[in-house]
Amino acid sequence: MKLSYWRFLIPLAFQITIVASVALVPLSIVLTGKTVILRTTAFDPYELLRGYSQVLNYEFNLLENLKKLPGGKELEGNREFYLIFVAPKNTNSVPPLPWQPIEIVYTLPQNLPPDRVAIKGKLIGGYIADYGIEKIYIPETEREQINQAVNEANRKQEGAVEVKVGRSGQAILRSLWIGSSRYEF
Amino acid sequence: MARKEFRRQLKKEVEQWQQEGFISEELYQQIADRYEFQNLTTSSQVFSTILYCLGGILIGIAVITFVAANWQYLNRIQRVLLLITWLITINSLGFHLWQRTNNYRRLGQGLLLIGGISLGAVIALIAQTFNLSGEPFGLFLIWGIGVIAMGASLQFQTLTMLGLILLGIGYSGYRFNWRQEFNLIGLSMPVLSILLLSLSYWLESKAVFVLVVLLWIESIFELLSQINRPLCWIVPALILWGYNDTLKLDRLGSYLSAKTMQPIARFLSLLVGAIGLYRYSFWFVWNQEISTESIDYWYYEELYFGLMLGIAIYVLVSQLFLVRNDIMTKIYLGIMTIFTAFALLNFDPLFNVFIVNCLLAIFSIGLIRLGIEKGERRNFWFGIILLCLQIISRTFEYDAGLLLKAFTFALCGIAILSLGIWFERYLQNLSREVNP
Repeated sequence: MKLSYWRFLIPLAFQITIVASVALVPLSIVLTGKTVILRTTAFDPYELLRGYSQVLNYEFNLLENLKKLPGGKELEGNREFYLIFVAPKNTNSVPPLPWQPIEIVYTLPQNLPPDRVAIKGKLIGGYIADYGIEKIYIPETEREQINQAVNEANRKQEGAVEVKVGRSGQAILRSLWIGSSRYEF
Repeated sequence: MARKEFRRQLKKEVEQWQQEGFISEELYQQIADRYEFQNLTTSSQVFSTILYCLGGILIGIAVITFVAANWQYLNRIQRVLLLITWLITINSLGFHLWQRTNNYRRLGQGLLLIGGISLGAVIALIAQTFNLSGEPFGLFLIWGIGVIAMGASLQFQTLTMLGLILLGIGYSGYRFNWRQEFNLIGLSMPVLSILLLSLSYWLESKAVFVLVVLLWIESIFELLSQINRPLCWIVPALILWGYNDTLKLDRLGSYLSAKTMQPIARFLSLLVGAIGLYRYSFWFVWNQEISTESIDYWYYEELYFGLMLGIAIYVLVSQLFLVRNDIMTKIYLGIMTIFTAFALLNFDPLFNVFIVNCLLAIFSIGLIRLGIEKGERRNFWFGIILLCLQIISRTFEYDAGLLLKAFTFALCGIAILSLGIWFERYLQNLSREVNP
């Protein structure tokens, strides 16, 4: 007995919905989100040799740095929070200046002024914060080039990333700034 | 349908008969219809099929390589669209070949399986495109659900099993994830696994039933392991023993299902019970402290936990007192009751170990008896192996001398050999008595 096409098309549509729902949120953030520059403290040098991905670190990953900010005292356990960043005075310089974290809040802030943005983070196991922007995938052909640039940036302490931030506080990595050169992925 | 070689031979013969006038055109047509001559492949057709497949595979590899080479020049939207197109193409081709052709059904099924695997690859590639970081278990859970949907809708057993295995991998990842992330599929697994049971009837597949039950047992573990470890084994064992799908729906005698899953559920119950008893026959397991810290359950989890406990108690009471059962069921449930009592009461671990070891021995001897009585090979060997495992484990646990260890091994070996030979001969005699 032959199965009707509906028995095939409905689950296929379901699978496509799954795929689309995974892609839709980040895609809309990339298209409509706010561009923010964040300073990276050090690039993890080991991950680079291992594969195509690279682990990035930020000052605001560390709990001790977050504790210094207003609202940081209550941070503990596996708590979710929003880190508010303020834009630099000069936004047209190349390389762009990084945004600075200024405050921690625990509910998604509404009506932020245009020079501020909230990024959602989660404290993990009570010692390190995760923002979902700690890993970047590097195309195979650009690996060598980026490898060298990263080593130089590590020495001069001038690495930065460009992220898009959506209204929900989710951040998506767009590109890597090493000195004045930009690598987009 | 008769074998292909026979049909091919028959076709050759019948054509000759028709030419020689033995049989009429009409009769020839009838035979041709009955043996589906038009579906028979000739050797040249087989050759061309191989060529088509080879060409198709080469083109497929070319497409994948081409896309991989240009992947980083595509922007994000193009990448997403390309991945979705791939998913649609491979699945449609698979479905078409499976359902609408006669000679490429296997190939079609293979393509559908590749399509199922592709779903995970597509989701992973999209996550990579957006540099999304997250735990892999989320990918596995949603991937499993997508594959199960396709497998169930097409009544394709292998694909459904693939989906269930993916779901199981994802659920294990969810349980052991130290970050304690929220995931709807993971959280609802206790209920979801029960709903998935219907799949085994829809597909009439025992393998699917076993996989779903394993998923359900794991979800029970997730719920109960923080309260009382031994209960993790006892509750599923009891509920599985009471699993009954042989109920008649009405007086006309139509059954709930054509293929009943009760025997396999009972076997799984014995298996779970045996593993539980064996595990708690070790002293150090009892000595690991059972945490009594308060757990913040979701409301539904509390409800579910209560329901499962209720069903387990119902099975116990009804099978022990209300149903006129054979004595072996009552012994099995009695063992479980005593085990539960010792799991819940706070006795000295040493005393618990002694009791559980006695229970385990009675359990295995009961299985052996059952095997002899009914001539069931599976129960007999299950009991023998369990008993030997218990004796060997005890010898090693209590640090006996080498001589005693050697003696124990020898004794177990001799017991298995002699009992086994006797039992197999006994089975032969039994079958000879039944069919002289």
